[in-house]
Amino acid sequence: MTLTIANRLIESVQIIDDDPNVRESYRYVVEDLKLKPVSINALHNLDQFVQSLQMSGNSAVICDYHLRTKNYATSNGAEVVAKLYQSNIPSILCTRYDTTIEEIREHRQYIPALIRPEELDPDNLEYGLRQCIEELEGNYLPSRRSWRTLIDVEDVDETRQIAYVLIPGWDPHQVVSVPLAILPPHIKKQEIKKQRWFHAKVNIGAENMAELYFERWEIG
Amino acid sequence: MNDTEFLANAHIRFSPTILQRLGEELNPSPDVGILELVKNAYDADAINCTIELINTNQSGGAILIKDDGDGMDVEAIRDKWLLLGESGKSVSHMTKLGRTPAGSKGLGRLAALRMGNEVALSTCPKCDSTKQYNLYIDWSNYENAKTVEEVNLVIQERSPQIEHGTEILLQGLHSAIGRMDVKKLARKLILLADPFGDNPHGFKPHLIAPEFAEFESLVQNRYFEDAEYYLTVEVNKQGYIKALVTDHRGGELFSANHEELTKKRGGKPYNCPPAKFDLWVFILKSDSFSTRKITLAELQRWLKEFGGVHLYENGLRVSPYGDQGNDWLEMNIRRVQSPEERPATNSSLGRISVLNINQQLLQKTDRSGFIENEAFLDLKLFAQDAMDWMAKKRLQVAEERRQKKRDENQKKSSQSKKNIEQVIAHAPASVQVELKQAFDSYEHSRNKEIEQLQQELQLYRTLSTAGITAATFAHESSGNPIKVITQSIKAIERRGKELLAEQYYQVLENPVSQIIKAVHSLGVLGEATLKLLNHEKRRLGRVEIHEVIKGVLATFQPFLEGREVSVVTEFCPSNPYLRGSEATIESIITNLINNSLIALEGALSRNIIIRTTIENNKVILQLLDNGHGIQEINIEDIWLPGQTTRPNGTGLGLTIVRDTVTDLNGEVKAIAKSELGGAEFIIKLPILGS
Repeated sequence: MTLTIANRLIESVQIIDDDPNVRESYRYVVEDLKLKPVSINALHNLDQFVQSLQMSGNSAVICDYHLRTKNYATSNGAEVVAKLYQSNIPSILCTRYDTTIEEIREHRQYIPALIRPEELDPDNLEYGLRQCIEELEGNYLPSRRSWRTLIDVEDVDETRQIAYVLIPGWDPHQVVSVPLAILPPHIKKQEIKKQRWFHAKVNIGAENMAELYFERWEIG
Repeated sequence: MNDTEFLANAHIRFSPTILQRLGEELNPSPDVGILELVKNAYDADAINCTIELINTNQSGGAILIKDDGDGMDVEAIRDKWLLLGESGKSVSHMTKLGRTPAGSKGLGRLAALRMGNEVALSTCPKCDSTKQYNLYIDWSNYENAKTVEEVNLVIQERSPQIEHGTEILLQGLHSAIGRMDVKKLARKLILLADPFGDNPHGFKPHLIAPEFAEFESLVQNRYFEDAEYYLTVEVNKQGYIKALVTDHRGGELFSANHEELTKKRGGKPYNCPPAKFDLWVFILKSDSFSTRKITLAELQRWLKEFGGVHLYENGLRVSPYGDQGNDWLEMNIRRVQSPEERPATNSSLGRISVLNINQQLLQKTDRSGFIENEAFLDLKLFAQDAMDWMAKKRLQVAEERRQKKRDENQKKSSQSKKNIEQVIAHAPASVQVELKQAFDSYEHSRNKEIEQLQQELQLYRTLSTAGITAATFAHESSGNPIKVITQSIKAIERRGKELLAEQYYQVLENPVSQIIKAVHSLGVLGEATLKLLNHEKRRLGRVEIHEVIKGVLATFQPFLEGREVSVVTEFCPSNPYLRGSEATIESIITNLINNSLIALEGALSRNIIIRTTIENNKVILQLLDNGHGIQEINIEDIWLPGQTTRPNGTGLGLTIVRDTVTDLNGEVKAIAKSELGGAEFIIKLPILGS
């Protein structure tokens, strides 16, 4: 069976998770969406994996965040999904993101669909794939479209390399954590200081903090 | 043909109301204005400057400011003193006494001069003390004038009646100067020119008022040698720092270079003007004062008035840094975060002396401190980094001391035991048995006590280990099995419905939905533990009390449902918030809810009310339940560690609540029987706003 979204044909879903039992249980969701599940037993070479999917075509990916507790993969799930998205392969990150929000934020721009494991079912899987494919075709949801906006640095945690910022255009009261690794090379980490202003493109239509991403930083 | 034609020259002119805009409206309080005139005396190389308040307890009074400085000639009065907006003083040129001029733009002076209806200036230049110049300003003349320049001011010359220096008399004050203002002024004057230093050319401002004499004698006490330790840090022109901590005898305890002090920032130099930070830290424990000349109360009073870190720019103090209640280096909040070995504003006194020749630091026009630019933030950071380093070093020493003490105590204890046994052995045979029995009984109860303490310690360690383990293995221990069960049972549900149709609902629906519910509850425990441990929650910032309560209740929802407990929130309409970490408030709420859930076990109906109200800038948080109330335990004892009425209770929950509330400068109390029938906990916390 296949699924067609925005003229794109999906036949199989690759399942990436470092626990074989989890991979096995995710197969049921894929099967119930009438697609072919493919379990990935190890992911040591991401480039090669991307190439193989590009060659075979018609594949989508569902991927967990924690992949490095054993010798399963060399990247975390956010890096994998971002790389796949940038290679035009529809992908979904499936994780409980409460404790990894900053690590995911670093790549959130390239992660249109993030599903919590307990919410993963055939309907949400299809919705996530649709959202990702539409975005790959250039059709962004309002919550994913970025606009140039003001960023006010509230605090910087140098040990954890995280800046805490306010985005008045999104919510003037909620402090958002931003990993310093996100900054482009022309803004040095030392320039991010308490009470400094910046501009960046941010998806200020995002409904919650976990969805926010940042691009094109400028010194304010 | 030329199409433009000359008509007239024109200038921007100022209406006299500009004097009000730049004067009164930029003068936040009388002490700020007067201080500006005193700074002028400092710039004029005066040694003494006397401020006399004449009938100022009501409006219409006068202030006389008299100094023995260089005085002014006609040019200086006309081209500097009367010229507003441009400073005649260059900070790069030192005065004859080697002072760096305060470099005011004259706006503070205007603010001070405008405090009354009239100003009388008399000045006698040091370079020609045969002359005295007088100038009189009647501000009412400006009321009818169209522009400032229209009012003519006359400088008169007369034979000298004063020695070199300047006298300014402000008459017909618009408002009274209250007792609190006088106190504030006295404190600021005392602190203005670093009374803690030993400068022979020291500037001595003097206010004729009883409040000043009181502060003056207090400041002269100089209790520095009673400091437990002394930190000195210097940042040089290139932004590199070095630090030294000495004990009360001046012996070196620790020292560090730039590399060690700035590991956290990768060795990056500080982008601030050269500065020196001195901090004297006192240990305020009554037992260490029994052999000293001063009492703990005297030292506490001294620290109450002058404690905190004061900031001196080119020799003169800049307000409000180090004022009472101004904790600009966040010492108190950092102490709350990690109380051991950290100074607070009421247990230390410090000064940062900055040489701001290149004007990297800029004062705000209304004299309410420095503009918070990069130089200022780096200046703050250099002091904070040094204090962090000192706290870390002192913690290491404290840990070593504790270990040494433990070893010593063990040795002492076994030696004492041997001694007693020997004494008993030498005692007359008739009392030997009795003595031995008494000692054995004492030793037995002492060992029991030690055992109890060790158990408590072990409990803390076990609980910490449980938390660490939960965080480390959350992914595989609870996360993955739950994912597998969830996906599998959902697959059974979907496929069962499809394959068995009506039969599914008869045979499988109930057991499947039971599993789904149970798995959800299982997941919550792991999630709740991880949420409590989230690093983000320990970050200091604005914490909205209602949001934290709602978050805790959302996390606990499956447990509350499982125990059929109904929680009603009665929040005040506003949104109280404080500065702290989410984790602190969360630990208060979580422990109180845990406590209620235990108290509600076995109750017919189970209800909790969480109520907030605001009173005098404090949020009052009440948590009531309809459990059995506080019984079988003395109400004062509920806060003690290890006190529990349950066989498996840790007895730590309420201790954590009490300690956390105390750290937030709050109060906590318990009522054995509340309006709901069970216990009630009332917590008052100071808030920033609502």
